Amino acid sequence: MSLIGIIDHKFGNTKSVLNLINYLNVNYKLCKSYKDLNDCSHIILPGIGSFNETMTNLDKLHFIDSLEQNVIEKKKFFLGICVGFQILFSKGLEFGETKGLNWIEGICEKFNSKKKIILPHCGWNKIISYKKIEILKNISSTDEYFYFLHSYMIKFFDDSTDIKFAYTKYGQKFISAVEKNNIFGVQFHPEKSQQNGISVLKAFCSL
Amino acid sequence: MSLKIRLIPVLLYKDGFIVKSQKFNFYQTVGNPFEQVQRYNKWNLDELIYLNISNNKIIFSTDNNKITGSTSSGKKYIPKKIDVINFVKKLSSKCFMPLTYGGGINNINTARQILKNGADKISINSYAFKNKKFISECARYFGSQSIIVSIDCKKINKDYYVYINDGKTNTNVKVCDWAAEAERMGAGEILLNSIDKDGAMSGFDIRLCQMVRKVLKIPLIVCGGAANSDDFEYVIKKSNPHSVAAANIFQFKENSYQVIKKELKKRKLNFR
Repeated sequence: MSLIGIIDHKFGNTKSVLNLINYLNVNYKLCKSYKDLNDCSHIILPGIGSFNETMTNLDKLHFIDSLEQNVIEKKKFFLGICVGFQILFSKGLEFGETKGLNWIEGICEKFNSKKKIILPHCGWNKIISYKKIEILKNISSTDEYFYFLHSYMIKFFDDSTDIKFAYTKYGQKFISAVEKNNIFGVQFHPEKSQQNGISVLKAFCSL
Repeated sequence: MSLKIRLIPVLLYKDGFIVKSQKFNFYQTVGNPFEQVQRYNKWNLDELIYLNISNNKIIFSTDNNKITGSTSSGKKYIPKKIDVINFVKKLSSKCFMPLTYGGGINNINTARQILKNGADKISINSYAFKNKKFISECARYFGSQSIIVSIDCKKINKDYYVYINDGKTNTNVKVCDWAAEAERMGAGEILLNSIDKDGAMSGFDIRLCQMVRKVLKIPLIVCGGAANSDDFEYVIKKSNPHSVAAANIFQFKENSYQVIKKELKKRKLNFR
């Protein structure tokens, strides 16, 4: 029996993700303590806030070691959303350099402001090359749009043997979704992306 | 590739009901405040703006108050007041799209609670005009992307002036001046409403949209006057806004949102 754990590290906005999980009618648990993760089969890390703030809070609440144990050692399914996706990478440059979880190599940096784009990148944009990612494979090619809201991103680079990337274009190509074994991450907000978003979270919860 | 233009329905809440508005002074009751949101949630919307336009900004719980007709006159019920935070919590519980809430927000704490309970952006209007630093304060705490400054305006002779207090008070400030200042103070988006065009179904005020678009770098949402797909197409081609919004036309016809969206996409406009 699956139990979906949603990490609540106080500063992130967990409410919207919780609303959607509730709607999907699956068993879930709001994880306020790192110990809660041990009971769950799936872990979701929602994200609003900065890279730095998120890592600091997770560290303060002892979530980092617990995540290593549950996701890396026990191989539980993990989904990071927005900043929760960004911290999967090596480091972030928002409000100074901060170390990430370093489960995937890469740097989270600001969009190149020399390109003529408005920041934050806020609105509906298209995901490309996503069919290989398990939780995105049901998205129809007639509607490949998701809701984004962020100013920092991870530059797109090619897939490696065990890592699959989807990307999106906004002035430059950046990574909009990733799958590495049991680890998933999305830069967009599935909880705000209407039918497509519901489909992604549903797919994740049924893994 | 640029972002998609957003087609945004606006829901107007007044004294317990969703209303249809004309020129900011004639209101017609059209529905229950929660049912409308749930209905819209099935429409695959780009975004939803929900504004409380009640005189005193008090919110009434309308749980057992379903209405079917187009008027509430003669209807008797005892309204129960509920606070804005619980109201937003309830609104957002089945709303899986970007949600903006506005109406009577005049302190950081309320703004924070609204954003924590499922809204993605707040819309501020009169209070921001009277206390311009409130915009920068909100932007500092929550980021500009969560702050929409909503501007109501009216044409007098050849100029457009900003009106506050639900369109009742003329500030004698020109709309472009205030829009540019709101951007400088940290607004993330401007929602531009034309009082003259409100409920008129005669198309957008193109000159107004063009003028304001020219002074802004941040995204502009234009509202007021849309009756059909042609009106949206015309304002997009003429003034290039980031989003187009309307209230009344999405109220009466079932599936009107999808029909208009489909038509706009067919005309090769940059919609989702």
